[in-house]
Amino acid sequence: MNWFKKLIQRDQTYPSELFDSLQLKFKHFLDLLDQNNRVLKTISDMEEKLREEFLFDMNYVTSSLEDVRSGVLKMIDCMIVLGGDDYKKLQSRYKWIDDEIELILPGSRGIVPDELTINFTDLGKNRAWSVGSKNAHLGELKASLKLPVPDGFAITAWAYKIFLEHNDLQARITDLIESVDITHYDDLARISGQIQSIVMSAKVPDIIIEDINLTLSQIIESDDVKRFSMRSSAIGEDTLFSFAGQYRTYLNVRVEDIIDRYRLVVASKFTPKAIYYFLSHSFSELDLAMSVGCVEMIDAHSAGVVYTRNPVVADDNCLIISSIFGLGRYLVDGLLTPDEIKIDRDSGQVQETHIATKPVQLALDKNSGTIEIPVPIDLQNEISISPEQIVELTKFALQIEEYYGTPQDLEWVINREGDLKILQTRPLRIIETDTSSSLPPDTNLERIAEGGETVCPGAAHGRIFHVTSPENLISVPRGTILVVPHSFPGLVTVMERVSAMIVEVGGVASHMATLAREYGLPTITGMKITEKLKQGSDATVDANNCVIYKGFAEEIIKSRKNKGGLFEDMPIIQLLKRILDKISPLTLINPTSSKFVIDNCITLHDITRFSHQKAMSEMFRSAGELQGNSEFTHQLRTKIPLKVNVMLIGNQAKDYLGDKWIEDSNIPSAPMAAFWSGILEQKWPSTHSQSQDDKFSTIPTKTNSSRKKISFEESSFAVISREYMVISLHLGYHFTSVEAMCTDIAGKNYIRMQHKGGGATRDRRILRVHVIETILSNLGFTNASRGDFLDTSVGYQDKETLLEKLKLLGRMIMCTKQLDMALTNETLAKWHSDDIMRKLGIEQHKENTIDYFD
Amino acid sequence: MKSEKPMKILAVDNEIHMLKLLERIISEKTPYDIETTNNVLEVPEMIKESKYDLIISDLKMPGMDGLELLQYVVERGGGEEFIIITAFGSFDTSNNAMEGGAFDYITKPFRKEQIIAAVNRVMKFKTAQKELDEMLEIFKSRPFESAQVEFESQYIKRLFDECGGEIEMVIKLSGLARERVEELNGGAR
Repeated sequence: MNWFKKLIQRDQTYPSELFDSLQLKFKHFLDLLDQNNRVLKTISDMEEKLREEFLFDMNYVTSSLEDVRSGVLKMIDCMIVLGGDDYKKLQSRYKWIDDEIELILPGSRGIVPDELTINFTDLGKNRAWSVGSKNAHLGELKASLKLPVPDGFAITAWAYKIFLEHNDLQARITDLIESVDITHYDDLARISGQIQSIVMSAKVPDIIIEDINLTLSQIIESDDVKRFSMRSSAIGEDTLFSFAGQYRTYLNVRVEDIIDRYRLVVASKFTPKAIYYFLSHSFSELDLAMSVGCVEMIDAHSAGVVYTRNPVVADDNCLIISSIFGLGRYLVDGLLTPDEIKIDRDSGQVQETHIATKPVQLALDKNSGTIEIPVPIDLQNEISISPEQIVELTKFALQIEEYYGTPQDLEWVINREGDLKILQTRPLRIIETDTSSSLPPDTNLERIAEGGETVCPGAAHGRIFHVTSPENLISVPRGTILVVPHSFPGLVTVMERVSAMIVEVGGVASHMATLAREYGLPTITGMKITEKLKQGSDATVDANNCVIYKGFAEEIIKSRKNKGGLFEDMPIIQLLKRILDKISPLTLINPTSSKFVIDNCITLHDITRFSHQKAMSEMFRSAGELQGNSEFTHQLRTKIPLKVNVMLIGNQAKDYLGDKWIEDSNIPSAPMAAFWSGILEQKWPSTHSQSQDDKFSTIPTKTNSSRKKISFEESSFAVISREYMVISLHLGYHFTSVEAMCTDIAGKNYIRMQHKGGGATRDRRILRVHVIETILSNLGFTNASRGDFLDTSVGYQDKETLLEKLKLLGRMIMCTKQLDMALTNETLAKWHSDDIMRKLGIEQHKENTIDYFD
Repeated sequence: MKSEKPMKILAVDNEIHMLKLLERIISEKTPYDIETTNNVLEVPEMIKESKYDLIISDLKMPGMDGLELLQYVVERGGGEEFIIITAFGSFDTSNNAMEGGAFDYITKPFRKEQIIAAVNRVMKFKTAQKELDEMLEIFKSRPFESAQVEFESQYIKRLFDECGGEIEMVIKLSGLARERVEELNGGAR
């Protein structure tokens, strides 16, 4: 407020400058109100899209999010103008919330400058916008949870951008991508090849190389012969859309090869399957930057995956460990069927163990890279993880799940010394199934295959179509049941058009499995493919029970139909829901509470709520500071024994400069005039006149003309313009503020009232709030009350309707002014609310009364 | 008419989210079949056999936009009706689509009821059109006697459908002799 004080001092000589600055401030206030209105409208629009089951696309999600973001940012800017630098804290609060949103829909902010490389020890989950969630979570596990995570660092998205810019790559890549025909694998492969070779022939700028070397030196001692794995950690990978296995990973990389492998991982952003994936999800390739993780290589004795829940049977209280000998890649690529151990989440007891035959393993090659070697015969059918390791892994996995609050999909490795390390964690998608509909149905149809495991539940009918290599994917007809010997690159390109998928080798924890669940594609893995699954034969897949029937089993298809909300399981619906979780809940309710502070804003709605409230306070404060300056403030001349100071904003303010009085018969504000006419009509209540509420009911004499600041708490105050008013009424021990915007555009209009306190005991004050709520809900207001605080509003109606409501509101406020004293019980409260509504001529809707008094 | 195959819809959009939502709504809330593609360039091949009654297409797609696809479909003359999905506020394109022969347009985002109603309107129209075509065929028959035979057999067929196959009821309602009804019914089969 120093700014303001200065102005006041200068005001002695430059009154018009003060006037102008004040008006500028008011302009920001009105801007803020306007933005607030827009943001709230966008939020309720987004909520409506979910609630009413709209069909919308990604563009809707991103553009709505953009509207909310820019509106909130503008509000914060206005707040800083209105209230000074103290409100700059809102910016960091905003960023904190927005980082969370960025985690849900990465890339929506574009690539933001950051360091080029960051050690895992300096990373946390909220840096996913810069290093991708894979790297960010590894940092989080290592730095915050102190879990055993290998050393390593991230090469950021910013480095990626610099790499592309340095070589002028982006425009060429964009052109190529725009020319691609996304469902023809050969065309995809051709374009992909061109882009990758452009990337591979580009030079990594020295600035990045130097930075990588510097960070490497923090990790490697001089005589160390550490090897690294280089893994993609694209911005957007592993979020709602998993991109599972879309990008390349290089294992056992020598230090001298790091730069070259970095380029290769970046190039893998443009593999055919990756291009297909982001195009078909309407992601802009530009927004999906590639960060790369450089992680100390672990020489694996065994490795695998943990799902902290069963992804296809939600009420099964199990954690699932998949494990193989050697490096984990053969598991996630679906090339080996792993051992599977199911563990009860509560007791930690092993419930089931399936040991698979593991003929081979992937091991580190002496020089670099990997080599496939046989598993010794006597170990091939042995379990690849020890009981102690199972216990330790279970403990870590549950700890991580608890920390993140959602089921997790982790990758782990055990080194030659038997030490466990965590390599990755990401959210696990759970497919909700209704177990009652999953029972094997009663059918006479012949079973032509059975066995294996459910990767994604569901049922489908179609013709069997066998594919053994990526080149044949192009010929896969729509609606068929795809049968493959194992997972291979490019399968994702047909997931959208096949009706079900059968995979002979592999577990439920491979990348293919993650994608199948994402696409909601009924899929079975580990099913022995027999001669009966003839090419072109008609069949029905029951993925819940892992059975394939000959012909069309209508009853099975019917019983597997989606039973939840129509769209509930759809990724785009879940996306909007999760974004809204960070935007729309209002947790800051009561502005008189000590918890009504910036640090407690946890959603963007909270920020708007906080800003709106504080903007009004700031307006009152500015007005209060100008009390002494009679040129700018006016008093309302009225019969009501209430001193109301009035400040005009907007164009007409000039007309009243220097006037002491504003007549209550000629208030230059439509909403205020309507509101005050209600107060006048109802008159000042004469009963209970000796109550403490009358403390301020006579016009104070000269106390206000001194330098003493008149605060919000001590006087009634109105800030008005032709179409707007906000008035803070001090009627004794309670405060009521009424804000209204009444323009020719219904979409901008609203009335909002807040009410708190009173002279009576708390239960009586609460009863009064209930009386007010009852009356106002019959007037069409939406109420939110907490204790004796009430926040109520009505909006989006035409001017005349709202002016009428304002008048009734004025009358009601007079009627309830001292009511709390009289409200000794609920019967009386009910009687009073009925009585007031009768007096005001408000029609009573039955459904609006039951809540409070029954 | 009852026993005929359900009408078939093809939905085209490069974004699979929208396709998934359309697929869900059509398969769960209407009696129609739906197939989808996220590659508009695949559509000419898919509609070769003219098995679709209706194509629902997005406007903006890489490769070929919705208006171009509409033009292709109309020129090919396979009889598919067309609903175009446009972004909110693109009135000109919606207008162009209607002038270009689209049955309807719908702006995103839209309520599920909107698309169901639009699809139902198309299907009602298609049914009415089929019936009209059948009637016109009868009018084209020469000489008069063969038109009469066709008319009578259609008449009885419909009456049988209406009466749930109950011959006594058909005799009563038609006022025809039993032998005549049986003869015509046999002919209809």
